[in-house]
Amino acid sequence: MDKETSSEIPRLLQRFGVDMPPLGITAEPTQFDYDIGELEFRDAMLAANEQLIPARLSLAAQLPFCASLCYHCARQKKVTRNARLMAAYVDALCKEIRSKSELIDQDRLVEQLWFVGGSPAYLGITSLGRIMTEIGQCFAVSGSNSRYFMVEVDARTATPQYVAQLSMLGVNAMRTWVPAMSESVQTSINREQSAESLASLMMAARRTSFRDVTLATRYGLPMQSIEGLTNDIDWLADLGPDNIVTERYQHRPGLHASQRLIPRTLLPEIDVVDDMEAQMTERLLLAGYEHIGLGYFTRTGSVMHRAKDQGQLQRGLMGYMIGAGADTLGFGAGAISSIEDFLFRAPADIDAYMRNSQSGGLAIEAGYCADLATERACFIVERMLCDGVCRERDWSVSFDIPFNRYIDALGSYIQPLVVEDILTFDQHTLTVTERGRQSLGRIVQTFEKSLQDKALVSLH
Amino acid sequence: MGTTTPILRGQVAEARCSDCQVGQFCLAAGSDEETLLKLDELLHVDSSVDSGEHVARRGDAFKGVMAVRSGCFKSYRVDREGREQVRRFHFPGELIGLDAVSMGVYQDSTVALQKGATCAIDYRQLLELSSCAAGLQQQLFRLFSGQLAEQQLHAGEFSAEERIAAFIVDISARLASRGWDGDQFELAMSRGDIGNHLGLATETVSRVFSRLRTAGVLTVRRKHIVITDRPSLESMAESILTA
Repeated sequence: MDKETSSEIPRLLQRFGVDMPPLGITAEPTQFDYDIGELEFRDAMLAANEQLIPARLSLAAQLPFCASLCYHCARQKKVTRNARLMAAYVDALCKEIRSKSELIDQDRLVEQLWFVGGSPAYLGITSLGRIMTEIGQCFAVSGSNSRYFMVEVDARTATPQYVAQLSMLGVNAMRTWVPAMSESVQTSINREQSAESLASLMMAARRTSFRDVTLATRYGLPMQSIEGLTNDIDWLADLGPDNIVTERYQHRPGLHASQRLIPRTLLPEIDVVDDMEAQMTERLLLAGYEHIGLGYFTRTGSVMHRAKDQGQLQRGLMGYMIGAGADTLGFGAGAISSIEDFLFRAPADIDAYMRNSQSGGLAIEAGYCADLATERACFIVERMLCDGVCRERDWSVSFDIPFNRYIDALGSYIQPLVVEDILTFDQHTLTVTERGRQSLGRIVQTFEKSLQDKALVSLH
Repeated sequence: MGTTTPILRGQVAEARCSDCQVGQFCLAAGSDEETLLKLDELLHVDSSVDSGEHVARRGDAFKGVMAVRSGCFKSYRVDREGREQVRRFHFPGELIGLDAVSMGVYQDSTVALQKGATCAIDYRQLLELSSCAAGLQQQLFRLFSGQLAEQQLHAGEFSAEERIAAFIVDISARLASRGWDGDQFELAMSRGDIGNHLGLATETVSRVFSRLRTAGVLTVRRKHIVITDRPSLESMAESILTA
């Protein structure tokens, strides 16, 4: 048994999706508290409704079913052909959508919607349509072009008709996973995917005028070589998606059972993976992509790029998202909702989830409430990840303690980052350097460490 | 002093006007030493109140004026169709129950919007005292007329921006006159209550706050606001406040 089984994934890393699939939610309970449940969820929803300017609302539906098992996958998923189970799951999901929606003020517009997997496509367009209809009946859904309704599409099975049908449901953004194109890598992770299918999917997305198309790839996979990876990257950039997300494969067989099917000996050495990351970044920058951070690359003029320019980017459960400070309601087994300073988690077990939802429950199994120290750290980390800068004037709206006093108190943690030219600080502003932008993970880890050490718990 | 049977319920508190945190802005404002001593002798009934708890209900017999010691309170009426009408909000140092003085019964129901405390004073005793203390009489008059002015604040044909600006300027002035920070404060009332009070839809309230934030007039976080451009805010509120 690997030692990862017992290790906790620390809160900031989880909250900001660092070292996690940017769309996925961790499968293991971390610092969730089972004493925080429906009552606290209702209170948090009430408080969120009562804000003078309520936060924007994002919805995320977890559709965990897959036709086959990709060994490297760190998502919550269930490989099944049981159509009855999937239909029952959609029923439970619709019921949960209805129950949760009753707690939301009707003037709170849903501007973002995410269908994440598993493989959402595997449920079929009729089921997606049903979920979409339920959402439309229960929530005030934005009809504006600025809405961002995203579905993860599987290039192996999606047809141009499917893409057109998604568009008719109101979907206007898609994300597709392309872990690797090399045959040996595909075999070792049990995911065969042809170049033709991806090219035709991209054409369909362009014809349908999706406003944001993302290709997500992995590095550090078994059998992967630097050459193979850079070829893949060049090809993906040639396809011209709005965003390319590159994610480092984390081998945690103790946490994700399917990864036990990948022999450790097939994995590239760590320094090779570091080299992969550097070369990949260089090629994407050359191809005209901008590195927002944490492996997320975007083209000038894209939706994400504009959001960044306008200070409207946030980093949350879904990775980078538009709309700073949004509340997120998650639906489905293991889904996480983020309301104000709370996180709430649904039962990860599909049967337990369905029983709860069908009996009229809110599918809240546990929750987590950020303490003041975490809230402060999250505030800075989010600004660093999204804007690359945290200013005193932004800080002072939220916190009483003077900004420079807080940063001074963190001196021993931040100083090494200043020495390494990752951050600069001038009493009023903490800024990420150009070099720092390539290693935002270090900043998150630093603040994480300060929380683990309880360094600032007594700072008032 | 005439004998009055105490009709007030609750804990008889040790607190007196002379050592009350809000005393100098409440009834005791402008009182001389002697009046203050007499005020102290009046029966004060201190109550702590939970969020959502009523301190007065429409139609109930008038028991006494209540001073807000802490927290924020909302007075409202419900019309024949069952629609709530938010009449006014009360902040520390302000009086609740003046609507009941003339009729002897409460015209408004009053509910705590957050955890707070009130101090009730027998009204007949207070009147007796005020008849021989000019300073107290003036302060009572100020407290009465202030509330009348507030009621006029939101009548008339004004835009949503003007109403919200006037609302914030008014609260800011009331808090500042009682020694609190008038530039940043928490609005304990809901968006719905603000909208109801000002005759605006709830979503309009949020939209206007959002616009004021974008324009750099206010910063808003949750229910906390900071006035960052007072001249602009006051000029928006001007047409109402000078009407």
